[in-house]
Amino acid sequence: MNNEYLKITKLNYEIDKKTIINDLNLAVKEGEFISIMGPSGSGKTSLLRLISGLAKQSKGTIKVNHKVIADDVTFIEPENRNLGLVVQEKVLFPHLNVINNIKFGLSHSSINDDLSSIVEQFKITHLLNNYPHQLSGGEAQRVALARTLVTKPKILLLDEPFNGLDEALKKEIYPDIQAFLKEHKITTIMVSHNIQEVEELSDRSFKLNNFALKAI
Amino acid sequence: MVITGCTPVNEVNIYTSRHYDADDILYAEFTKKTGIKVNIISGSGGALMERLKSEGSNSPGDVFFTVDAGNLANFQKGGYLQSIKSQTIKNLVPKELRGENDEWVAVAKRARVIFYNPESVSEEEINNISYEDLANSNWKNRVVIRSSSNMYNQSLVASLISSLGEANTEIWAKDFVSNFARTPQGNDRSQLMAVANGLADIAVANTYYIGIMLSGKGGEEQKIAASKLKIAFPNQENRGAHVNISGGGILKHSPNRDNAEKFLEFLLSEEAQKHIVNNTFEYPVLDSIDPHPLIAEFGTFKMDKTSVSDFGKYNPSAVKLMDRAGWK
Amino acid sequence: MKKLFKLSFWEIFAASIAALFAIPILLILLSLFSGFNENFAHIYDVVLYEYSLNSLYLVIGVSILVIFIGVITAWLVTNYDFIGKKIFVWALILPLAIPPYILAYVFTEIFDYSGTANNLLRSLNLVSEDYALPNIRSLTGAIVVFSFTLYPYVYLITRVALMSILKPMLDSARVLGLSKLQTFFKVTLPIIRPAILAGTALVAMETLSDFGAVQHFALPTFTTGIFRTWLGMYDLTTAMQLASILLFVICIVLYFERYQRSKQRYSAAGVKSEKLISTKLRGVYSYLAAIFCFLPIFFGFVVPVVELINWATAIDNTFNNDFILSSFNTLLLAFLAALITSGIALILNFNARIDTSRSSEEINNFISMGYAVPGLILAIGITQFLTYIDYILFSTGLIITGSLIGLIFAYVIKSYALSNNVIQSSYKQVSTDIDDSARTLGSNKRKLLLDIHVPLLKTGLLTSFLLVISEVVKELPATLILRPFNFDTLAVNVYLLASEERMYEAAFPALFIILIGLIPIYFISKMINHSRTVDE
Repeated sequence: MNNEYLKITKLNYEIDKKTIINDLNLAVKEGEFISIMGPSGSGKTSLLRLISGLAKQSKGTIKVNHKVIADDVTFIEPENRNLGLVVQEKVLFPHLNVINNIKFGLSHSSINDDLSSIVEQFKITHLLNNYPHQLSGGEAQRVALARTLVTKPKILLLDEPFNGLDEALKKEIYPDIQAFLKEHKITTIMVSHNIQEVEELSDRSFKLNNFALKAI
Repeated sequence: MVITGCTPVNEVNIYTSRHYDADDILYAEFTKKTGIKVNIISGSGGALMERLKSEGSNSPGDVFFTVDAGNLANFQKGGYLQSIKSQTIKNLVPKELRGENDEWVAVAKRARVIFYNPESVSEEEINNISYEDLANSNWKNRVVIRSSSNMYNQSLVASLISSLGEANTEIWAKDFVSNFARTPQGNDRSQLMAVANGLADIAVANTYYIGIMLSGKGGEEQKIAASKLKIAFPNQENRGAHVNISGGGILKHSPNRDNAEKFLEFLLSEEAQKHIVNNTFEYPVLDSIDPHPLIAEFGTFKMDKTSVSDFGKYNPSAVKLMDRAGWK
Repeated sequence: MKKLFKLSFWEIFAASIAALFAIPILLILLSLFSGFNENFAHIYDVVLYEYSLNSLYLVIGVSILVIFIGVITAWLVTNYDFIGKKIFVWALILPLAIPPYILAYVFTEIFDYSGTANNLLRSLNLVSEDYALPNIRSLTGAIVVFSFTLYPYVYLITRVALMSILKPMLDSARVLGLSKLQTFFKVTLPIIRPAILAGTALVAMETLSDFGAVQHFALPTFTTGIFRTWLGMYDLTTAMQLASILLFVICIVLYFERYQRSKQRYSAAGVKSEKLISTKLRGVYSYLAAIFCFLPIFFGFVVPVVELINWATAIDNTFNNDFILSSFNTLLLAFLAALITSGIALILNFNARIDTSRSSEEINNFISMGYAVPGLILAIGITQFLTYIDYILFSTGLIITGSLIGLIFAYVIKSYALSNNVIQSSYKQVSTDIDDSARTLGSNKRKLLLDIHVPLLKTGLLTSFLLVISEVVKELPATLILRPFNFDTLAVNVYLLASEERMYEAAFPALFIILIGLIPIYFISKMINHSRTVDE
């Protein structure tokens, strides 16, 4: 088993002379689900953005599966990192219906087995022809998750993705997600402030404080 | 659009600064007669010259067709024209109506004369009037003429410089300008309308406008206005009335030189001369053709035989002189 | 360790566009180094003073008048309720559909010695046979004409500024002890002053740029002087030197405008309409307000349009081949220019959005200054530019001068700012989170632009397209100079016919131009309707 599927070394991130992340180190095993908690504004979202390539680190190295995706010399663009990101804001493409949203990241447009099984699992089969503005918050979140998972990302980054869902729905969905992630060995990093969620889903958890991570 | 290389189409490219709709018929007639396609670009003289300058030896222009000898002289001075070789043309056009080195020829004539309302101008005042007289104080507030930026006026003043000398002309100009009934505005037709409406008593304008207005082509109002007016041909006791021309030349880098010359010859043919006379009401260059009756009724007159190419020569001085005299 | 220096395609594109836009202006300024010949000396001695004085008086006169009309109407319409106010709110911008030169032609015809107005007065026996209204073809006449077509700029900008002044703001000031007058000077005025000045600066630039109207009025100004020097004296260099002087003046006005706009620290977007409460005017005051608002619309739009319709229907053969050909030419040009301008604006704004450095944004701002350059001057600079290019391309036999390229180039430079504004604000509506999602889902930049942005920007792109079309259709001086073989546009037709005093024949094409000029009015009035007051 790959103990350092994701390895972050001495990560530094500054914006306008303000330090957000300083000397951050992290190693995540393949298929592991870790959570990151911390006060707001502490840089959790920035960390995810750095890993996904939407932001550029000031210093440090990020490796996935022992290959460098970002360091002082290399920088692989987000579209080429094959990582998944689901955030809490509504980010479904408003001009595409649900099925087209879900298929967006796929290079071939046919409905294949993975696609239909994910759609079933997330219970959105009946919504496929709807448009984002017609969905409830919970439905939209499920579509967003499905959209990302269907691309089989190497690493899944979740930024408080279950915020809009009610408790009953969460209870339904957690086991499905966990099963899916375990089955496909998707390494996951989740940012959350919900302790129960963290305890239920994660293998390990951290706190982002003073610009770096501490295991909890 | 973008013009590339050379294609073997039988055509002639005319750069013209005349904007008479009737010319289109001339071009069509030429094509019908000779099978040569006519391409037109129209613009003011200066704009055409700039275009020629930038086109350089790649220019597709064949003929330069324009009004006013001043424009033609400018082109000739700039080296944009080449000598016309056709003996036919040279035989038909007298020397004083040809440019230096035969680089252009007149195809029609117009005079810049005095139009007046007989009800507000006495016989005495108008009898044997000269351009020089227009500076006299009895004409105070009674004269209208268009702006000094117009080539026709520049050529008139150039001809005065040629005949009277620059110093005298400047004195004349200052007094002339002080007789204006209004700041120069509008074109020649506008001046004639002003006289007809009583805003002024005399206007200096080109002969063909009365023809256009009387013919009804400009509408009923203009026809009525024109019928109130009479023409006085200035300087009949000495050098004659100021005459200017419409004319053309062959452009230096003409790719269709033969066609160009054919076109100029066509303009001097009886048929084309008749058309010009009947549509733009100019005087013909060919003696065998009579001017249009509407124009002819104003009578024959003595024409100033100053070489038309002098207009170009004295044009820059004329422009500056008019500025100094306050002729807007 | 050093980062790798990478110039992306996008950055090169943006820089090239900026360079391209700047060249015509630079060429003009270059003439200042060619030495001043005797023509310039003559101009300097004899007419430059007059050009400057006329231009100065014109700008001052127009500024005063547009502030008077624009501010008062904006004030009335925003703060009060009176007869017809709902219509006046958008109708006050109608005169924008009429380019100044067309209004000049129409007014001349109407107010001329033997025109409609004088004839009317005489036939009603209100005046004697010899009487005539003051000559419209004068400095005063020009001031009046420009004011009536351009006041909408000041009106619009002032209205937007006024709408940001919410009643609670004013109430607080009163509670703090300020009188009504003091409130006006200490609260209201500082907020609307930058807007008024910016709007007036815009009007000043439009006035200085005009050629058609001042030429028709035989008013010696910089533009007519430049035109005359080039085409009458055949002296391009001196003309460019004159143009440089005008450019400097416009530069000053432009920076003044931008400075004022940067001082506007509010946004009227999302103003809750309940906060705008207007006082109801009764009786005489209501009528007075209505009349005051009606007059500019009457003279600036109703009168010219009615007269033009009169003239167009008075003669037959209006819908002839020439008109069809000109219309086709005009729309073709407009279409191409709109396509190119919107395309460039899209790409540059995309660039600014995904680029972390501010350079793209700065380039965009720089290029947007093109709207301030008078069409006449652009045309001269472009002519020179194309001449040089043709010189380089000489051996290939290709000629670019005399093609549509120069003309479209001029249109793009002139209308870029408009397109940029529209697309920029459309882009603001698209959350960057969407960009993030798309990129993590594997979209490269091209896919992001084409599959995500373009569909979401559809409305903005269309708006930009239509707005550029209407700008191009109205343009005159650059078209006059740069148009190729056999190619007249409607504006050129109107100009040529009007200078031949053939207004009746010019009426129909003029109406068509106005019709297309109504397009931006439609969009602007839609935006105005978004923030109506509560009593409507």
